[in-house]
Amino acid sequence: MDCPSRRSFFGLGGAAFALAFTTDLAHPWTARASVRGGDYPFQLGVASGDPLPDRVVLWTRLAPKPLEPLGGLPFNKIKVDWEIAEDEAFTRRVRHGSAWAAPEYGHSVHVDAKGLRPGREYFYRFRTGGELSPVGRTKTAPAPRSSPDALKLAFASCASWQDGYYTAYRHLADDNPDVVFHLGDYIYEYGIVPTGGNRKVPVPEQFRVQCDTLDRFRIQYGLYKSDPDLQAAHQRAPWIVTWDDHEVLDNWAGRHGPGGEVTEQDYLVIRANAFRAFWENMPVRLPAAHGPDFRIFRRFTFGDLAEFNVLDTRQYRDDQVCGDGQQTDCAARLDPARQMLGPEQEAWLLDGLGGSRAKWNVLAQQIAMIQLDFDPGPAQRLSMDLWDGYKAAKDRLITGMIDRRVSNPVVLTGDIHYNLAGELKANFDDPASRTVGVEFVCTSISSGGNGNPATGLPPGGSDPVNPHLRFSSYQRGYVSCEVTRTQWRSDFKVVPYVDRPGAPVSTRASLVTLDGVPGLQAL
Amino acid sequence: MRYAAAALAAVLFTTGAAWDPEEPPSAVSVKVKPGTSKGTGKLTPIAGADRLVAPLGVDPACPATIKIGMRSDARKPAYATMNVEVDPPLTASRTMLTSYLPPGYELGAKLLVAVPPETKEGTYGLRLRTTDKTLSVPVDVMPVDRLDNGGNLALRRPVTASSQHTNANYPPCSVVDGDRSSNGWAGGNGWNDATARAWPDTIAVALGGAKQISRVDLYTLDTERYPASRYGVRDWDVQAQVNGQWQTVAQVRGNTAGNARSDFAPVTADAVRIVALASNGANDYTRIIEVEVR
Repeated sequence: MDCPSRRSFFGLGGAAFALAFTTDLAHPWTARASVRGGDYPFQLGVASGDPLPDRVVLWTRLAPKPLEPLGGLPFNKIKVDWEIAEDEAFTRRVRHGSAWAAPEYGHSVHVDAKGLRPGREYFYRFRTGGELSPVGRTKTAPAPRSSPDALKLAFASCASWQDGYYTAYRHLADDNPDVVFHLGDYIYEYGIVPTGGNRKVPVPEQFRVQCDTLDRFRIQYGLYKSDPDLQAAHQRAPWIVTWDDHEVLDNWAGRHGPGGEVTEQDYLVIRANAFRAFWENMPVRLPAAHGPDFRIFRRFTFGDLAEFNVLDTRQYRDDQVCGDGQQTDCAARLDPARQMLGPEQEAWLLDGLGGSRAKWNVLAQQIAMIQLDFDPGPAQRLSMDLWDGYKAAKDRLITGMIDRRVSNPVVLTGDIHYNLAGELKANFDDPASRTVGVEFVCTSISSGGNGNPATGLPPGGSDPVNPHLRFSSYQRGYVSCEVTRTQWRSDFKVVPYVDRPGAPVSTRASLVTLDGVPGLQAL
Repeated sequence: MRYAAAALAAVLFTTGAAWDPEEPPSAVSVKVKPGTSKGTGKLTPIAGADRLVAPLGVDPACPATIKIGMRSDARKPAYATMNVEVDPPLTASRTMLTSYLPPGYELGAKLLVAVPPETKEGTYGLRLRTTDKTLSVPVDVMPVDRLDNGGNLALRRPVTASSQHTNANYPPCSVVDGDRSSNGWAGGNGWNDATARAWPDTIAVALGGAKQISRVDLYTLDTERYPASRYGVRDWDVQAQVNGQWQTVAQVRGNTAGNARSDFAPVTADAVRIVALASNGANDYTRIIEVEVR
């Protein structure tokens, strides 16, 4: 199939067209109200992402029928206008143009809106066939040589649709962060029963089977992205996303699929479908995925305040050893040859950390890095899927950060459906060893259902088996962070239930790490 | 991520261990077969069978299934699309099949074809269309009594179970769908109860009238990744409903294999019930792929 060139995606924009657009925009809200019908093309909302000081990616996907593989549209390309302005009423428009929504790409639109000013808020929207999208708010990154005083970010992961409502995404939106990091498991590849799981919202029969083909992945994203709370979170701030395992298959690892009846050849075709659907549905500044290899690790700098290394701990790792799961005395996990990031990404990461001039150096990634011993007794039972299962790769990274005197390492993690805060140790088996940095693990948005407020480690408490752990809770939610020149504060936001909409939000714990003083303090 | 949350709750902390329902295993239906491209650029639709038999009046959770797919003779890998059309009132689980397809590859995927209750007996059309070719597969809609069941009295008969796990697709009717293979677990080809570590679990098949029976074959989950010795049913009773009363006609204890045959003195029964008493460990569920009755 022919792929439209990047020029055709980003380069269109006739003057007459732009004029017509402007005229129609005189009464944006009345226009929008009148087109909300069965064929409204913007039912998946709008999004922005990958903010740089002078540009941000604007995204939408046309789908009048989001639960159909082509979104209810014919196999034709469709022209979509876009505009970005300094104000919500679009009276100070700074850039506009048009782009093609092509059926080969699920009628998605990725516009890299350039020529913006650093560190400021913008508003954007799309139009096609006389119908206007909702207005999204976004924000560019601060200027490269600036010294910002503060950054407000949120991070989240793990949002199984059938496990519950996305109330936590709604509260995240209400926090108005400067940027949102999503650490993966944005979708789950599983089939969904027609009764709709914990949500009890019926879904069509087509959802019974698991995602494997591109048509099936597309309707999964269509269902997920129809959720109004998720749309609100995208509309409120730019996102920087990576994937975890469920964007493809549970616990996939490098070239190794789930085993059993799925051969490597099957798996790589499924992976190519999963990667393409991910690209179509995410506001990323990446060339369209074409096949089973897709580089998504990348770096974002927010002045001299913070630098974010967005990692991919799935695509280049060696297979989980000792049969995956939790294991005791698995010697293979220590094998120095085993890779988590792969040689190229690992070198890129360490080089980047070594050259960084940022006060806070962040790893936005998937899986827990602090050691997590699941055995209450003297034995050590570790998860083979986490960094513990790749001990040598973890040690290379932590030692690499010590050697390079990396300023204030902060690891942001998802995957495990648990809120955790812990200290990164030079040697996790020796509590007296040096603390190198901190890790904040966000719980799931919905995966696992309601959770249990009665369990967990109170902030500042101590766990005898994992002394580097400072806090945990098994509730649904996200983490909101206030980053300044003197401290990084993480507020663990939780909701009491997800099996029905409308849960209130509360702060389960607030932990702080101070500039130059690795370690955690409970507030 | 699997299982970790439950273990963390149970171990790291002393109060109120949360129990997180474990995530289901993968149930992908895509299968590929590499080959050599003829370089013609053509995309050829393929089907796993010449005809499809779709029984009337069966549980909609277990529709008729057929493998469909396409073969690429392109020079380069591409995301290829094939349209799927079926005559109404039948409905298909996909209206199109779109997938990455390296040159020379043949790709297969599962298609479910549902028969609404008001459908008339007869032959319907299923068409697989690419820009190059259309492949037609006749679909024969017929009542269960007319199916060629090969002597298996349970095939496509009504099934009732004590519970059903809902985090993936584990319909009770799947134990009489004629598919003994564990491939595609969690994707609709087997039953998983909803009550971990609680016994017994029961699943019953109505035979559509009083039938003489003397043998039951049970297939439990058994793949390389989910071996019966860890994931399969260990202990169960086979019961027959005779004159409205359940009586135990056979017992299986200590099973670690993927299937077990129970022979017993012939009885005339309206239904057969499996009373599962224990499994081989992993989360202690009952996982049954197929039950055949002769």
